[in-house]
Amino acid sequence: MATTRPPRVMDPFAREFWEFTQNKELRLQQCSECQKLRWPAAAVCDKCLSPDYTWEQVSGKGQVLSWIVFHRQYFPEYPAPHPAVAVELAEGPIFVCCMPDEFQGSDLADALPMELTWLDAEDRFGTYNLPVFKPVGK
Amino acid sequence: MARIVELDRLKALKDTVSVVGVGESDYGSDYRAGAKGNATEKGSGAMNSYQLAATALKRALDDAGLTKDDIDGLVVGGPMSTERTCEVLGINASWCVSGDAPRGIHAAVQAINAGLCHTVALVYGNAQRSNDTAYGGPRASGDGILSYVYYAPWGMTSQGGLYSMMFRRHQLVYGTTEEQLGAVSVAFRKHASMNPNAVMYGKPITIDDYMNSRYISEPFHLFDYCLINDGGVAFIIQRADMNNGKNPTVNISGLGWSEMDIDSTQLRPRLKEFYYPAHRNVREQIYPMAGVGPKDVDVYATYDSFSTHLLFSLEGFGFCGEGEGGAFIQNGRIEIGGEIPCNTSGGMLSESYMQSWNHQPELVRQLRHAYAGGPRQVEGAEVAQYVHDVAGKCLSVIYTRGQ
Repeated sequence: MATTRPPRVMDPFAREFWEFTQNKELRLQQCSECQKLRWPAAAVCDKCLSPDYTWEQVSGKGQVLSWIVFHRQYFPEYPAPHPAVAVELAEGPIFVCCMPDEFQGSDLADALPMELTWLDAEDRFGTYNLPVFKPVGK
Repeated sequence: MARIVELDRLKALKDTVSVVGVGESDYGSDYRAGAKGNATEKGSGAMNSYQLAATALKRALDDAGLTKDDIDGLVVGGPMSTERTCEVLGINASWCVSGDAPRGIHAAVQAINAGLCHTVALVYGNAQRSNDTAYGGPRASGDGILSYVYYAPWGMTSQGGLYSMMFRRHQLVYGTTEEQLGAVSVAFRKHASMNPNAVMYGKPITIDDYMNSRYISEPFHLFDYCLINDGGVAFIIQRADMNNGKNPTVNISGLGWSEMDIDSTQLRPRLKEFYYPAHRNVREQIYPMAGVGPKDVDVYATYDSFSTHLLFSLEGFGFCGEGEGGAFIQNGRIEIGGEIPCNTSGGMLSESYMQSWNHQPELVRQLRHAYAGGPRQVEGAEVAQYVHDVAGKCLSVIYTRGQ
């Protein structure tokens, strides 16, 4: 049984994004006209309005921009204390996520190098893999 | 992105519209209507948004010396629909829109100047405590992409979480401390403690209370968060030459607006720029229009769903330098009697969470000198500024006391 998590916001473009997570691939839309990477998934490029894109796999490297620790429980699936972190990907976009359970907010620092890892997940749309980040080499 | 605003056209709107009436519901006593004078239960269903708005509107009309038949324009805020609001209040307006308070003011000033209406009631009611409205967690999760619901699969939720993350970034970049930020909650609570209609009337807190309060989303403490209470607000604005003179004149002298939403779900405008570029754009509109600058502002109010709205907006609007807010707000500077009194009613942190609406009556009363002779009055207040810096929307309104 995969771990139940709060439901994803789903639309046709999000569905494509999450399909790649079945193979543990973190891919973001890249505009075919102007090459801007966008996240979350959207119908058109916000820079040039082109509807054409490819799904580019990102390196899975980034660094800490900010983080918080929830001390109040908002979701039964995420008991407090529960950290959330904003990671600036090497490719530019900012990816907001959680970390594997063994990491706490106190493990984080400004610009700390982070790397991609995956958590098992399930919601009403099905099972999938949740992309998250953790401190490099830990 | 460059903002091209035709300042001459904007300046032509200066002082063309006055605020002639203000009113609100009984925030404090409604909140304490629970058993033994305690707070009412969330989800009690005790109150209704339209009822709260109607109470406020009647008071604003009485304050203005007008009747509802004088109203020919309506701005409806909060969860209320325009159709039902007009029905309940018995108003067939010739002009009607939905919006928050500053967007409503902007739109109404333009509509009045366009000749579409001349006397506009701006009304808001929100029974959010009675209805147990959720601003985070599973019940806040919509189907649409919103920056504060999108990250639910990762357990990240709530505007409070996003603003707390923004504050952490401010700490990392500028060295701002939680104790410095605590000055906001202490000041606003002090103001509320003097305001008999405030939810937190008579309940001041110290910086130790703040530091000892529990974290909700660390680094945010409980006291960095606004209240959840029921309430209604109304105010009446009118073409300036129609003002009946019942109250001291308060004019709308400055307006400004700038959005900053690119990559907003990624939190880029928050974490990389603290919305400063939007603040700067608004600054370049509103101060030239009103013919004043930050040093002329006698009383200031900011949207304050969280304490940090004050910190970031004082920096962005030039009251202090970017990153200097933590030090700037110390030693009573933002309290009544200080250099720049902020959220003098207690704001949304401590008076009432009316989502931008409760600040407007307070600024108007300060400029009327309605509290003259008491501790709440900002002595000699002539210029008041409201800043609405909320999730990519930055709007501002400057009110001045008429001659």
